[in-house]
Amino acid sequence: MTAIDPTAHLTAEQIEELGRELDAIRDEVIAGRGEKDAAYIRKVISAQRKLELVSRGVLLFSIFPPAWLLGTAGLSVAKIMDNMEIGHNILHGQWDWMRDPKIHSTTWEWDHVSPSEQWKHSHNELHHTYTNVIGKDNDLGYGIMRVDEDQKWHPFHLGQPLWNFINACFFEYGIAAYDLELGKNLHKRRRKNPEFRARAKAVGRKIRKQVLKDYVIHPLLSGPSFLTTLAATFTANLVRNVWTHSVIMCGHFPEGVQVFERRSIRGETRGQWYLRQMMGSANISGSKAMHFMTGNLSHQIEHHLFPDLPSNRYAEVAVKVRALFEKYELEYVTGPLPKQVFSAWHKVFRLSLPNKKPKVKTPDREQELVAA
Amino acid sequence: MTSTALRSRAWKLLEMVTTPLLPSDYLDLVSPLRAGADLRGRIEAVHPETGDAATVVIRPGRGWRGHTAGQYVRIGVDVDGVRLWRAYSITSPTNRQDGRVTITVKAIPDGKVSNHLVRRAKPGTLIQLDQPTGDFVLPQAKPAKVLYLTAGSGITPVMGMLRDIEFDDVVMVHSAPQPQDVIFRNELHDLVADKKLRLTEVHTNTDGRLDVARLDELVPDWAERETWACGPAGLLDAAEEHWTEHGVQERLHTERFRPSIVSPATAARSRSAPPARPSTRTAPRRCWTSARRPACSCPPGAAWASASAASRRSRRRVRPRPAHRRDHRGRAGRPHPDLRVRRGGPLRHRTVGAP
Repeated sequence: MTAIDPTAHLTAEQIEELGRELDAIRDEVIAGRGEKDAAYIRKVISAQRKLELVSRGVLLFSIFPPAWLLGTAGLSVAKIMDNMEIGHNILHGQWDWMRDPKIHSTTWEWDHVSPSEQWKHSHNELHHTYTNVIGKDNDLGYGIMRVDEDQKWHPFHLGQPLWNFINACFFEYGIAAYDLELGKNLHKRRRKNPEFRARAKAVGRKIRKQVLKDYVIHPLLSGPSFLTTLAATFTANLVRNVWTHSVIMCGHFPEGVQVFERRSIRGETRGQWYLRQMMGSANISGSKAMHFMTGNLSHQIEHHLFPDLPSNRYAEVAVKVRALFEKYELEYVTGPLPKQVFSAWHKVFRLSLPNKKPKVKTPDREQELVAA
Repeated sequence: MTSTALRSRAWKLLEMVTTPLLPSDYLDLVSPLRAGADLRGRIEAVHPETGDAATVVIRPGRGWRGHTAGQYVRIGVDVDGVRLWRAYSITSPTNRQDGRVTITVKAIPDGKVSNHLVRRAKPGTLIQLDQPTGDFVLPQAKPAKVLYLTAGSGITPVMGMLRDIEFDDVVMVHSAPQPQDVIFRNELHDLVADKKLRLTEVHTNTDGRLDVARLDELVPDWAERETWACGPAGLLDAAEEHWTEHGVQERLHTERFRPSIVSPATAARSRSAPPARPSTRTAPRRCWTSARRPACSCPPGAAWASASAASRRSRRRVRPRPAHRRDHRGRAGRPHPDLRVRRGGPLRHRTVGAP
């Protein structure tokens, strides 16, 4: 394993220049935000609500197979829209500039078992700030997997392909546990921490409401279709979970994405922060529908550079950002969904085993040994 | 079980179905003006009045409680996708048969909302409304003689009064740059023709600014008249002084369209604790337009929160926090200054998965 810095050819001056160019791209979009953007998000929200309503209505007759199929497909799409293009992006504050209290990061709640308040902390404040910094960004393997050679191997990681599969199926619960930092907080001493208990209670309440809606009330309202509706809502949640998990895995886990040492971000400048986001994220290529269904997280690189720009603008921003990658001779990691999902899964399998010992000592390692 | 209890149970069940949204989020899709919804209105028509003023006809939602002549309403309009709140006097009479209300807006230079309403607002657009409010109203007992002293768009609340109640003896002194700038000019002249109003127009482009001392000549019995005055601060200050000098200040009622400048710190404080009454004046203060507010960093909502708290006694709802006051979460992803260590050090990278 060699330490190759793909940004080694850039001078400090160039990195700052890159930062200024990215700032300019951001400023241009901010200056151009307006009525059309507002109309876009309102249209998406309205479409999502109608789709959910109609799908749940159709599922009242889910005892008939075509109704089951149609309703389940519609509800799955509605849930994905709610979580991705709508929820994730509103909770990032992408639409706060509209000053509409109904579409605002401080008031929005989503169809998800993790309360938006807790998710905003772990996602917006931690993951987006410390993107791909080992030991700082828990998104690197969510604390249950090893997704980089530099993360220490533990026999627990032997099971990580299975952990990842379970996490994919129940992703929203995985996120809730992750936002609660359950791994850390279940220690005896921390368990009684009143702050943790309050947060755990909030999650409990949210789970109860979600479960009651999807698995009790909606099936009960379906009368004779009770069981089939139950199966439908379960399937819709499963589809949403697997889909969002796959999209999110493609954001930072595929081969070619860089990770960073804790000390590397000390004194990080704005240009360096931008550079880390560029090197630490990967895109998914595809059609407009594909971008929409991923909540434009297919433009993960652009999203990480400008997390609070409206998602409908990432496509146009991507053209300019990609030109900058070329100008500064950096690798723009992107690929179709199946390829990126395979790449990420491949890594999960590969790193479930400890690192292979290097056969030949690289100069770097020799130096380290000498220094030791 | 009573029907109310039954309804509240049914509503609770609905809430369990729509969680994490509320039933109203879905109902708003089809019926945004229904009873029980957040108060909104629909613009049904925009009629030009002068070159830079227009009357906006609004169908208020079912929750509208009705206004008293002379009152104003705060409206939230989306301009270039951004919701902005402004206050405008209601110009329609209280007994309008079709249930609609009108506001009359004068476009002022660089006024975002006023220009939008006068020049770009389209029928069918939804706007946000507050319940009407304001103390600039007529008394229960009919005064024998009335004087309306107005200037520019200050005519709007008075027009609401003129259209609402007829008095036996009404005099109006109105000041505007030139005849074609007089809003409602035709209607005023019709009232004059019907002998319902005596009107003196002062055209400041030719006559110069209205000096209140001239009232002795224009309306010799002004001191005996119950007076409602609305216009620029200069005119109202002069009027208050004049009326006080003659010891008849209790007959003068003023409405100020004056901007209030509030520092962001004051605005933030005012959110948690209502400020003391801003001044000893009895007239309500309000933000009329943004363009008259010089270099104010706070948004209209913030200025409003402090400036008008005293005159908002009748308001029921608390305004939502202005969206610009984003907390740390709003700046998601930008490294928070407190979170970042500021010391020198190289940026290190490693290629993952390289052989």
